[in-house]
Amino acid sequence: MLRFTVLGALLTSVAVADEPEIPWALAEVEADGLRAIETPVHWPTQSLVISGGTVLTAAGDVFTPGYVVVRGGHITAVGEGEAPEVEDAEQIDATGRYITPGLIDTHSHLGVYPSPWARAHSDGNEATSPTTPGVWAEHSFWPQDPGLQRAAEGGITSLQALPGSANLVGGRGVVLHMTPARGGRAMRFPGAPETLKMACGENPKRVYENSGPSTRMGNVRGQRRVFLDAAEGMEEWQEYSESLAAFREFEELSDKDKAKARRRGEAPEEPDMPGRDLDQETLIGLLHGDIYAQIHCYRADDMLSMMQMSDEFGFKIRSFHHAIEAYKIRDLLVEHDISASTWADWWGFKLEAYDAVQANAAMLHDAGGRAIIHSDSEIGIQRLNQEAAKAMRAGIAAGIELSTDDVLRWVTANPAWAIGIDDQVGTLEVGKRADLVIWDAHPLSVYAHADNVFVDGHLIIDREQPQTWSDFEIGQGVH
Amino acid sequence: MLVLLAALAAAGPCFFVSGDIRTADGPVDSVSFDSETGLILSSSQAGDCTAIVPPTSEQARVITAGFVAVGTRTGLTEVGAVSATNQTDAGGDNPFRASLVVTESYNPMASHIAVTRMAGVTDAVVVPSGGLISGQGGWVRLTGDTQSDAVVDASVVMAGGRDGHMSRTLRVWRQLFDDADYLKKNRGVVDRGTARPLSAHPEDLRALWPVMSGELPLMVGVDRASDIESLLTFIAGTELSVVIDGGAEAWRHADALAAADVAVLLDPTVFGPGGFDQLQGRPDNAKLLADAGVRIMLGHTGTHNARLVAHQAGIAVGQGLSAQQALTAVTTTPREVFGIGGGALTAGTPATFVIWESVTSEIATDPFEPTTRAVAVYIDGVAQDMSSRQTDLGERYRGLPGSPLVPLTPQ
Repeated sequence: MLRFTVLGALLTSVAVADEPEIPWALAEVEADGLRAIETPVHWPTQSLVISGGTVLTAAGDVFTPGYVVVRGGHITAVGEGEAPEVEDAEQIDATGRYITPGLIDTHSHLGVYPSPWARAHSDGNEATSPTTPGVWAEHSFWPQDPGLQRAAEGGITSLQALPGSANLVGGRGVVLHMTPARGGRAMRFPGAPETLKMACGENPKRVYENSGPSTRMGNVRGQRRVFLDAAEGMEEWQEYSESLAAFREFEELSDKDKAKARRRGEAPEEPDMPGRDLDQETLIGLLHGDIYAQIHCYRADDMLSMMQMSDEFGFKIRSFHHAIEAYKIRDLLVEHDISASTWADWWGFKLEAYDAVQANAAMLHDAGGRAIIHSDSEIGIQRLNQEAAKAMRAGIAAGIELSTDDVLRWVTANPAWAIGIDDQVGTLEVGKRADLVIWDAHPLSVYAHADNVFVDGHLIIDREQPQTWSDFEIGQGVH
Repeated sequence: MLVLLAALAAAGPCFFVSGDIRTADGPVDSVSFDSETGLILSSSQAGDCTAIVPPTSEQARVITAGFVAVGTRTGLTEVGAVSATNQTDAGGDNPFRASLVVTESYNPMASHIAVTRMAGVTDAVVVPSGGLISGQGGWVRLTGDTQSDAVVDASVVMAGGRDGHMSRTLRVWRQLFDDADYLKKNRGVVDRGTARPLSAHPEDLRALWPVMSGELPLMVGVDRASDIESLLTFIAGTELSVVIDGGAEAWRHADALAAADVAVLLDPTVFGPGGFDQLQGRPDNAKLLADAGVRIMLGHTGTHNARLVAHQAGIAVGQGLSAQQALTAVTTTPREVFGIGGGALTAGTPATFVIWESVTSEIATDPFEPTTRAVAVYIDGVAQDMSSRQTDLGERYRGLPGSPLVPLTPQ
């Protein structure tokens, strides 16, 4: 039987990688909670050849004119000039237009704070305790939020729906693919990791002023406490996983070998599963590396405290959200490979948003970091390309060289990385899912409209064929 | 006429700017102005004036009048959530604050003013919030270190508040206006102690007199078409001059609004299902209103992002408004609605203008494009400093890693 100290347990999660794979028992348990009743919509797959336009790959290449070929929902060819012949393909002439990857928002409250705003719809903050890692945004997510269609019309093909920032540990986010469905689980991005929303700074200490935490130091104590508990819990699941693996191995033996093992006293008992604890399971998932941390944090020093904590407990921060002062610590963000999801120009509404610099994203980019423009808004998400354009303007004004491809990555490839879907989307490259947008003008122009938006090669938005997604908008007399 | 002629004679050194100058009245070739009076001498020829040379760039330049941000809290707060810095809402029990003059709270040193100005916004109509009559809003130019430098007119609008309950608001307003009218017709009753019971302090009632005479526009926060209809009925037959703040569903009454000469300050990013009072909202609201002859203004982006006027104009154009209509909405219309005048870069008006340049050769210079920036801002003929707390912070952190501070040595 293995005995770990708390730190030992953390190291094990890393060391296990070199040993024979032991199935992680918690993942099997989780699968039951993640299973959907509703099934994703399956459209017929159709081959597409989009040609004649400017192809902006967000992978360093710009093809003018260029082409994109889609088969089976994936990109099978992309390049410059004449498109290859493809049998039975729909031909789309994009002459004079621009093709980009679908836009991705790392920070949305669509569905959890849906439109129209109403208290009855405010399902984003479980503000009953400062730490609620066991709540999942997908259980608040209202798939009829009319904002989803508006976002798709703006070229959004994936998003992360997050709980709010009232809590130190606010609960799980959910990475969604823009495929309208009757339930949120059917919109889950296939293969995307689970994510966890955490928050530092003003919001938690304001919300819990009377019961605590009421200070920044109280915030960090609150987070470290639950991680200490979770580290112990992870040890139990680690032991259980090993015992279970040994038991299953035994179960696979022939009756003869089983008997032999029994005689030697080496027959393992079926181990008892650790007690279920939804809050702990999420944190254990984070410590085990299965769940990506997404931390709401404005000030540089707050972000540094979070980075210290992530080192202490051995989890990885994938993105700081809002990250108003990312520019002050951009060297450290680069060193620790943490992205910053920020706005182009929101600032000053509270003290921790006071030191905003419009070139924030550009300065991080310039230092070699992963800059992301997020929306955090049902309005901003409708024009994420324009938000990126404003951040570009500020960067160039500050003397930083930026190309359209660089800036496009702030709303495509980099957000895809932050939410763990960069192997599937975020650029126009062969093998990626065919999530793409055809714009009627340069995508950084305020006048650009998304003529067509594709998800997995399916046309979800066509300006020529408008349709209403949300039941809410039916029968409202809007013409 | 005499005033105008006096303005045309150059009192000090004169300058001119030429190029792609776009105004609400159409393009002009060149604008020359007197740097001492701050007034435009001519909008057609440069004369002997010195050329303004903005920072060089490979991109074409466009020149427009300075944009106006309407209905903002500019200068009224430093940090929104820090209540000690926030003077936007007088608060308290009294919902009738007609005698409140919000520019008395205006801080010309607020750090967001330079940030706003650098985005090509040269003027703002700042208004208070809260209550059923919030108080008087003023016209400020975004320059100067003192209120007397900045405040052009302390009273250009009466902010009517945004209650979200139309019948309640109108009932209260009827009582208020009736009491104000009573005081006007029975002067001295308050001093004599013979006044009937009044719904508000006499000072607040007297402050409504210019509103009732139509001298001071009343700004009303309203979005829903049926509420707008009630408002139109309420003002019919009165002298009231109304500016709608919001108007998400205003397009439904476009003709009636034009006939009643009600101006609309609208936010082109508002979308129908965003709220129950705007379900009939349409992206082309601005276009439908402007086409019907309604005077529209664009913006409504609070305090720190009052700078987004240009972007809002671009969004409206992307949704059908013509570029010329949008330029009018952010330059001359506010100056006209609030009685300041100017904004078309004509002779005798303030030399308040912006020089714009694109940051990329891929997208043409256009003040409404997010890729175009203001490279120079002139207010009343004076070139403005193009730095802010934000650019200063950026400069301070230009070099990393390490501290932004310089190592000191004893002297």
